[in-house]
Amino acid sequence: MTIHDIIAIFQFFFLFYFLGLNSIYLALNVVSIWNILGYLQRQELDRLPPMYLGMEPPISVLAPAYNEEATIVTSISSLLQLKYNDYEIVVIVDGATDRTLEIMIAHFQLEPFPEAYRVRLETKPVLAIYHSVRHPNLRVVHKENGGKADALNAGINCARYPLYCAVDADSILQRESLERVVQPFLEDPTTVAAGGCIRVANGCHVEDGFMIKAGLARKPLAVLQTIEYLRAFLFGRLGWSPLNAMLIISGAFGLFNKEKVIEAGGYRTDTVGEDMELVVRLHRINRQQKKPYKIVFVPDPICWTEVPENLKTLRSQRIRWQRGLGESLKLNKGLLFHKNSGLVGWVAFPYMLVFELLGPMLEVAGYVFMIVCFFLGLLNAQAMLIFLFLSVGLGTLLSLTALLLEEISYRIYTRFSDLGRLLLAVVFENFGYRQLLATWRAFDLIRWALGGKSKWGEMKRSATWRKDAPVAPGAGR
Amino acid sequence: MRSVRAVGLAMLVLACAEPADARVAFFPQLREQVLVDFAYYSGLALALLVVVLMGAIVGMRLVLVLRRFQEARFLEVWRPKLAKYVVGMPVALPKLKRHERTLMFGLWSQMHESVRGSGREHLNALAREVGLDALAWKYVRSANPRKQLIGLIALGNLREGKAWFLLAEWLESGSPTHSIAAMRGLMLVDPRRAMPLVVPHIARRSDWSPVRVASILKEAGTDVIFRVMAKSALQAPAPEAIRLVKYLAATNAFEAVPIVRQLLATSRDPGVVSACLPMLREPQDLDFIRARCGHPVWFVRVQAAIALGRVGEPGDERHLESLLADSNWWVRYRAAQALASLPFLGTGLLSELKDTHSDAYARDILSQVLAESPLA
Repeated sequence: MTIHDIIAIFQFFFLFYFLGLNSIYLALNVVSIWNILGYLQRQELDRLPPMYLGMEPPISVLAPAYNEEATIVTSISSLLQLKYNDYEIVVIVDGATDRTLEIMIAHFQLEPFPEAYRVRLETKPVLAIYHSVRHPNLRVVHKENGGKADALNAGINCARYPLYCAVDADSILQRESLERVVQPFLEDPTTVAAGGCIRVANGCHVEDGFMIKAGLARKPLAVLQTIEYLRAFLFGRLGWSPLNAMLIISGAFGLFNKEKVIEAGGYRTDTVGEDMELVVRLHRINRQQKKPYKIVFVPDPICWTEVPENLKTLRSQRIRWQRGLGESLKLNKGLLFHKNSGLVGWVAFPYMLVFELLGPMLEVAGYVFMIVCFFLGLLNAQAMLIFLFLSVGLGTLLSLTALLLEEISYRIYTRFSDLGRLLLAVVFENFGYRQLLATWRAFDLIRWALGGKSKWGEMKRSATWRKDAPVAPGAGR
Repeated sequence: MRSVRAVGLAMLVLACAEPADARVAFFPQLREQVLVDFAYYSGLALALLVVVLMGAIVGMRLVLVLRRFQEARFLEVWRPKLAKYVVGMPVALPKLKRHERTLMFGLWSQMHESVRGSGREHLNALAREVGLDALAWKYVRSANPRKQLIGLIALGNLREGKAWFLLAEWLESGSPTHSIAAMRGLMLVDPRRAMPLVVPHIARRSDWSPVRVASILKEAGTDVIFRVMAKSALQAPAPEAIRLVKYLAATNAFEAVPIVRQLLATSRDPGVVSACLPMLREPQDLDFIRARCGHPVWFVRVQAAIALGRVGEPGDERHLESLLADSNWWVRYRAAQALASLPFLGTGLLSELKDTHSDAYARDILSQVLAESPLA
């Protein structure tokens, strides 16, 4: 075999990779458009007045909190204003080292509560449980630090209702979020989980925990991430959901059948991607046991979250996501090509493995190879530009499709200037931003393969777009 | 997306290397130039598609702005007119423009939900005057699913008998949205006549939103619905019977209780029993309820505990006390709550029970319920 044969083999490989990836993207696009048009059509019935008669299942909203003293009051206050017939809020203070608990005790009039706590999932010790005198549907669990997954498991132990909604303490929900996300459970009793659409909160006008007006972020880094979120949710999840092959529900907002999660073992505490790992595991267990089930995506924009506005925090986040992806797939490798796994195990899982997990490696390898060839004088500059033109065009097209879906459906960004900036971002994200993310992810993949440990890191939140009510001076002291 | 770029770059590198002896052959027969040409023309096509798509997005936004302007103008003109028409005042109605039709359906349907009696009749008269009735028929027969739905909702609001067979046809639709709209329409036109048609669907269709169905039934009134639904529950298999009984409970159709008792006399299915227990509120049902406190299935015991809390008599507290030590948390919790709700037991007695009960789980759950009590 000569070097030319080897290179020819690589060519075939890349060509089939290229065709395979784009076929999946095209299929996802078609499914997404069909799905959102059907969903919007069903909302005609929403013109009829909603009537809630006690047939809606009650929901436990679980909000893990760690060192959230700056925002916890407004976050919980907004959760208390959700429009839903019957729900409770369980805040799990996960060994916070700041004044999160003291501030909550003072603001919400919390008192120790003799909860008959059931340990259905093992967690770090629970130190105390409080309930609010002022808000009967609010309870707070104070426990030793164990991480987000451990906190959620403690919340599940404490939850009284058949469905639980896992939210981030700093997520901003729409008032009708629970009404929207519970619909799949009403329509199909085999639903085990439903995820909501997460939108970028940077640039929005938020007061006292409520979204007053949506807007586009000012900082270019946040605008680029807005496009990514549109792609990930309106194109990605909307495409996989009707195929019952959606492998992730965002930890910022997801509704789950509590008993099914407990049967599956709850959240794993040995991974940084506990949200994705749980969903992949639910797929695996239900497929292996041949149980009818559904994991669904609700496309309404019902949860808003802050995205990093500096490169350091963004890097930390993306490395964590990459690591979480790898761990989730590795821990559930039994789903891959299992005879009962259907589209999940035969299409979605291999897609995630080959194109999402290993994709950054391929991209970085391509850049390195290109640079090496350039210095060896093997690179045809004209052809290089043509292929670059092709790949930029394809990348732009895919992001434009997501923007098109947004324009068909929710049109959150009403100003023309915002639309203009999004259209620019769609083009310019291909020049530097995507390469940077790929490099971070590729290097972390290598580190992980070599046995590097994963960790959460800290997100530096600016929250400059929020106008929160000031915490009362001396509160909690 | 990053993979797309990776592939593009990798293909480039592998395909376009020079000098000649390092060139790559795609297939042995193809030359490198074919690949480059392919990439070039594909890139041009993509660039064109990108420009078209961008134009489409901007165009859609412009259309949206225009539509919003039209909607604001429409509401400015029509909302006051409809408001006057509803109360019977004489109003000159302009001709409805083509682009205003869907807006008119929306406004008219909205107002229909907020008026009653003669107001509805006036709204329907207005619909006939501006041609909405004929338009509704046309919409239902169109190929556009959204228009079909708008038309079905409108035909229901119009309450015209001649729409009966069309609505009955749509009741059989595979689309849950359209079939529920048809169900609603039939129930609005003639609820008594509709019930035998819709009940089998209510029983069978798990893709129908229970909240939507329950609200339609509630609007029809329990005197209309209970007999047909309860009798169907008697003959239906367990899963369908459970669904029907839950709707009866959700709509407070207590006229159906005698038939529910018949169902309980014949069915041993735990799901049916637990669905029926919330309907029992009379002292004559106490023996049945007491016997269910020892049922092997936990969710039956839960409903039995709740029911005892509702209708229990002095002496029934011992049944609930025995449930305080149940293996299932929910049974213990509901039993404790039921004890707390019995009017002949005060918090003093409950506290005493909490202090003296031999079972640790019972003491824990009583502590919790006592702390939850408004009198704590």
